[in-house]
Amino acid sequence: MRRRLLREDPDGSRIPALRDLWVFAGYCACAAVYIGVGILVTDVLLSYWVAVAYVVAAGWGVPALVRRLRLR
Amino acid sequence: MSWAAHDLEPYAFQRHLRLKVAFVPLLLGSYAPDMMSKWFVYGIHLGPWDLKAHDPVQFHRGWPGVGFTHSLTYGVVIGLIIWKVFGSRLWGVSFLVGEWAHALTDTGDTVGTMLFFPWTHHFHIGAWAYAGQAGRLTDAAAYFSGFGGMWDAVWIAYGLFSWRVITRRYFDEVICEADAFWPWAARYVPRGALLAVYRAAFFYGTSRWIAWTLWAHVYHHYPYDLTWGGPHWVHAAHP
Repeated sequence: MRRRLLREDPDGSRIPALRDLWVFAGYCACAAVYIGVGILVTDVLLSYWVAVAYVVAAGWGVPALVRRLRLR
Repeated sequence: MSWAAHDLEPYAFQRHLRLKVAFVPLLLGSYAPDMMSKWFVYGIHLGPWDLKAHDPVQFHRGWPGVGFTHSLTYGVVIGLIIWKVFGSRLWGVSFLVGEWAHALTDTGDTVGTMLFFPWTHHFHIGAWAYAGQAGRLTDAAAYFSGFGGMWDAVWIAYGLFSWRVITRRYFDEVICEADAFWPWAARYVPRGALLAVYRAAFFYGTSRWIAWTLWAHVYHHYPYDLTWGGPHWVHAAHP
């Protein structure tokens, strides 16, 4: 019954897939660095655009670069 | 004022309101009331000049001032302009939802907002102290020591409970489908980078909530004061 309910949820699984958890862990690692720097240099915490640039670089740029280097 | 709620509300709203909304104008609406005014409330240094509002509270939330940006009326007017200029009702309504969320959330502090401007009555619940006039750092310390910070924590928990809104699948199937902006942007920017941009406000709101909390209570030792209208160690402004 429980399994059926999980399967029938129109929004998909109620628990994150392993892949989702890995992505989340990656963002948590990015966040740890951002938080550490932000506590020491609070100006970093004040700009949304700094956060966007950082997330794009750390959350997408670095993994994309690593993937590309691995393929070579 | 709220420090992280405005970053996180759009994610929760778009999922739980079950409305078709466009994320970019929703986020824009959520940031809009403070976009032009916050820097002048806290003040900035530009070379030899110090630019700061003479009366930050009046400027930020009052009239005369730019307090009208925190009204429901402002959301309606700008939403209508967006609808007419961009020809998109979806963008107009999405902006409206974001702006209303901001205006309503900010009624939680001791100054409140003029929700029905041009009626200049301030609606305020007074749950946490408004301390913008004390400067950015004192304001942050006060906010994260009272109910304001707790209110943000509710949004973080709500956002994490709605974890599916930040998955790639949701971004592809809901966010990109709802708004032509994302497919257009994908012509110039890799989809993975766009996904990171979409997640950025969630990241920003959650990370800076943690960072400011640690800064206020571990790095410095500001006392918590979870009483109504607190913290009372800071001078709370009133309308």
